[in-house]
Amino acid sequence: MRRLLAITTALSLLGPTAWAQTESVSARPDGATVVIYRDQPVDTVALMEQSRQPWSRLDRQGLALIVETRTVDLPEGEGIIRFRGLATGVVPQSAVLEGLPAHVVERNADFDLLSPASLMEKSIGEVVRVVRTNPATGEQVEKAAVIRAGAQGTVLEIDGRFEALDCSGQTERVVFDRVPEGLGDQPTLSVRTRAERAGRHTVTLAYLTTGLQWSADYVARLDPTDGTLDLTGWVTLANFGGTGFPDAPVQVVAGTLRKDEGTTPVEPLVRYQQNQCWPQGTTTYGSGALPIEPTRKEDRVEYNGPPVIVPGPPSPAPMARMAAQAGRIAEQGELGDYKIYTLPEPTTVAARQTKQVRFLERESVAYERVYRAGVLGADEESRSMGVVLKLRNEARAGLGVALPGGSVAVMQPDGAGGVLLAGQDRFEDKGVGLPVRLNFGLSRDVRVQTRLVKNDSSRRGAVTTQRSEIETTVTNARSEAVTVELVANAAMQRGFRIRSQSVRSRVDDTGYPVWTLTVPANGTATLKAAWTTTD
Amino acid sequence: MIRAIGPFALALLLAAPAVAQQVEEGPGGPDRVSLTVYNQNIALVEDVRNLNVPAGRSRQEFPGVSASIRPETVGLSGRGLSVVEQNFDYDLLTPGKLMESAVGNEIGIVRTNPGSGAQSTERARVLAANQGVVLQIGDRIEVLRDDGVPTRVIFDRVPQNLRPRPTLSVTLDAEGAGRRETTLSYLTSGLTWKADYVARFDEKAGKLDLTGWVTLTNNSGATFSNAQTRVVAGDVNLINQGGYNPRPPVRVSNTRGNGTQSGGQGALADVYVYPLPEAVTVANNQTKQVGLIDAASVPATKRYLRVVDGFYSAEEPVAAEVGVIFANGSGNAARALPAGVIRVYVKDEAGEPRFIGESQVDHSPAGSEIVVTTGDAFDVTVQPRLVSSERVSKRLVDYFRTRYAMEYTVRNARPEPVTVEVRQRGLGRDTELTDQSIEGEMRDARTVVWRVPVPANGETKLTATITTGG
Repeated sequence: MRRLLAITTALSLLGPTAWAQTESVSARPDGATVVIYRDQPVDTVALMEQSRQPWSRLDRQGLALIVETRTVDLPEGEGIIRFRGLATGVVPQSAVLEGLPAHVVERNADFDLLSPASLMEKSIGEVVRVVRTNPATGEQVEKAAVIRAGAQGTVLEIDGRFEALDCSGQTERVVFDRVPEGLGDQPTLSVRTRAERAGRHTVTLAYLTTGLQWSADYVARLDPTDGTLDLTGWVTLANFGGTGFPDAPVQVVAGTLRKDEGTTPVEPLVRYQQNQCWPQGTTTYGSGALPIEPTRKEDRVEYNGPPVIVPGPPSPAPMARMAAQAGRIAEQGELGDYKIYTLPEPTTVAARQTKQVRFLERESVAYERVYRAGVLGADEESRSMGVVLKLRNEARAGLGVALPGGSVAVMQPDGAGGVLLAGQDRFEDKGVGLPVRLNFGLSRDVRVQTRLVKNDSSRRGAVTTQRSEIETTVTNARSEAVTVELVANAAMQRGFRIRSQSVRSRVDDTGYPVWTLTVPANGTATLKAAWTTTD
Repeated sequence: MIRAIGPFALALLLAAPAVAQQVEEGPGGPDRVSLTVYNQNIALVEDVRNLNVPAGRSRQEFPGVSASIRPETVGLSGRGLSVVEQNFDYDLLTPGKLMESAVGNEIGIVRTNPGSGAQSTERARVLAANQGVVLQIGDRIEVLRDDGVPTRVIFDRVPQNLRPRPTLSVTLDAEGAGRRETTLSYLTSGLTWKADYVARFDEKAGKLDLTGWVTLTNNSGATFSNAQTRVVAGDVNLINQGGYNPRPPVRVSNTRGNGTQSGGQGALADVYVYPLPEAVTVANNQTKQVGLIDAASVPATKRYLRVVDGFYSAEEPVAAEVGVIFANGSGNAARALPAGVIRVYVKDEAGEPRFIGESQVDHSPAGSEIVVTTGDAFDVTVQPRLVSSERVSKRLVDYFRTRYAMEYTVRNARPEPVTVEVRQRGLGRDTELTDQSIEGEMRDARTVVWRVPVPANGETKLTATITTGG
């Protein structure tokens, strides 16, 4: 129960009251910089697939830093500055406000949203007006009423007696005089300030938000004649939030950063009106079996409109546009231990949009195409060998740049002037100097079969020594010679030692001993080796 | 842009109709309230009201208490007052309850003729309200709205026990009548707090500026106006979180900082209490932040770390973790830091602050070494390789004792030299370290640590032989 409304309002007329604070609103930023991060590699295709699912909450995933400049009017003395037009996924506790020459007493994020139910619930004890329309004459009667109960069915006090709203079947509506304090259309951020003098200031408001993601994708065009490829890298920006950033400088940060699971936007509390009337059964309309349901709007005799649909939680609409900017290239810089890419010019990251910008263009990158398989024991039948494309991220190999992890689509000439997709693979972030290995599935033409020639063991005391002797044959049905790599998978076993080998093995960049053979066109090659393990 | 809130009330006064006189004036919210908020979704509310209590037994209602109150924790004190019983009524006023309570009583019904629009008023007695409402009008028995004609029902009264919101009421036995101050104290869920920090890290200067905020979140259903608020850092033992907990507290780790200095804050029962500097209004569905700490130029360093669990060859190089390390042991940072999230910012090439990562820290007494892991380095990697592993002894009892020859390739593509901490975990008993290219240090019996210097744009191969287990 509230105090008598008339008394409180009368008090406010008598003089300046303690709660009169000056309020100022910053409706929108003057400009914003968008910096998009990732805490895990993002697959563009999977992301787009997910964005089409109605239940996906991509507006609550991803992470970006928004740095806004705003012009605010600082009130003198005690005041409140409200910031509107923030990104919808704002994480309020991450906000950093700089450049305000005032003591910030406190910062608040209010997430009580204005809805029919919250309007009713927050108005309990308040005076409203009930407007009733006579269905026959169309005459409207307006009466003052006090709300005595709210969201689970409204009870009104009219002329000292009590009625339920929307249970009579009559056309009636409630008219409120004002919106209860603290209810807004979206969560808002505000600061309570204390300043010597009023003034207009330019401040920087930085905050983290969810809903923005980015991914890297590469296209490699092979030129088998000289063993080089041309590599193009694309950054895909996706904004799943409800806020657009017009003409914003945009940066993306490559590198895996830590994100706390609590860094999520507040889930706005939306109450739903749940109208529970008294039992509505009648003698004709099944009394016993009829479940007691809240009355629907359709029960009104005058109502002819479409059925009322109770809204579910908001889900982001499907991507509205796909925009590609092929012109200029994003520039790479350093940010701590990450790589930061600045888009060539300010761009508009519209709500629910993806955008693609080139960040890498390299020609004549040396590559090596090999076939790879493990050698362990006897194979019943011949096996297909994996097709591997090996690159070194080094300047002398034509590369030597930071490669943010992403997917690679490899194109190769089809011999008739066109191109074919040779395959796709993903890799993790690769700094300069690291090997890049891309797997393109299995080859039908290059096959391997290992024959375990001899396998014996000897014991000395408690020590068992096993000796394996193998003969591995690689067949090549292609019309060109190929390089194959046979990996000694047994190397992780205790006491592994190679005893004899027809080809000298070397430890490659995976840390395993590898035998490399060249198999002639339409020919075969054989490896003979023996090793022991002591256990 | 600037406007005062005050004039708003004037418009209301003009609009306020005469019916406002009908609202009975009940006791409002508390006169004074103080809050003690804990990290674990629980808060102690002390609510002081000036009540006019008649002598002897009387029932007092306390509107404006938290909707998430735990009624079994309510305590009431005041001069000459003793509590007979206390009730927490959550029987809410709804149209259905209103009709149920009218069974056996008279109501008024107003029918509107759909043809002529004429309204007719009658009195009726409610016989039953099961599935449908059965009425006795004079000597006729009818079902409410049997014909579907719009029919308003007018009730003369609302039952005492039905309320718009859950309400606490206490039956008191008072010595003597009169106004007196009564203090109601209770625990409520729905109020919680944590700390949020911003660390601006300057790697070149080896310093960071730390700003901390107390973040209070109120989902309790009640607004606490002008509350003297304090927050308590440290976990108190709770046996039953009770009822519905919308957000159970997330604990990333149970480790605590190892500092040994006293924090300078009121340490009470091994928890720290931070009073907020002034009274605040903690609104429902609000996150409120109040300044906690502001410390400039705290010495800080950056660390690269890679932990290798067990002995194996990694086919791909693994990125080193980047951590920012500082101590809350000196200067204006010498105070206990409550648990929260530290967000680290650095300046980019244009001098603009940019976020580089965040991590959770637990309650850290002053003097603790605090590590904030921000993310993985793009350019610094570690790749372990098991060169060989061999049995050491031929005796059966020593079957598991193994000599591992390890090689760690530590690569650095940055234009400056770095030092990377490589931790090898998974050691067994009787560990011997031999043939180390860099002298390692046993961090504990299961972990050896090497600090590996790597030149700019270069790599260092660390080799070591570890004999362990058995």
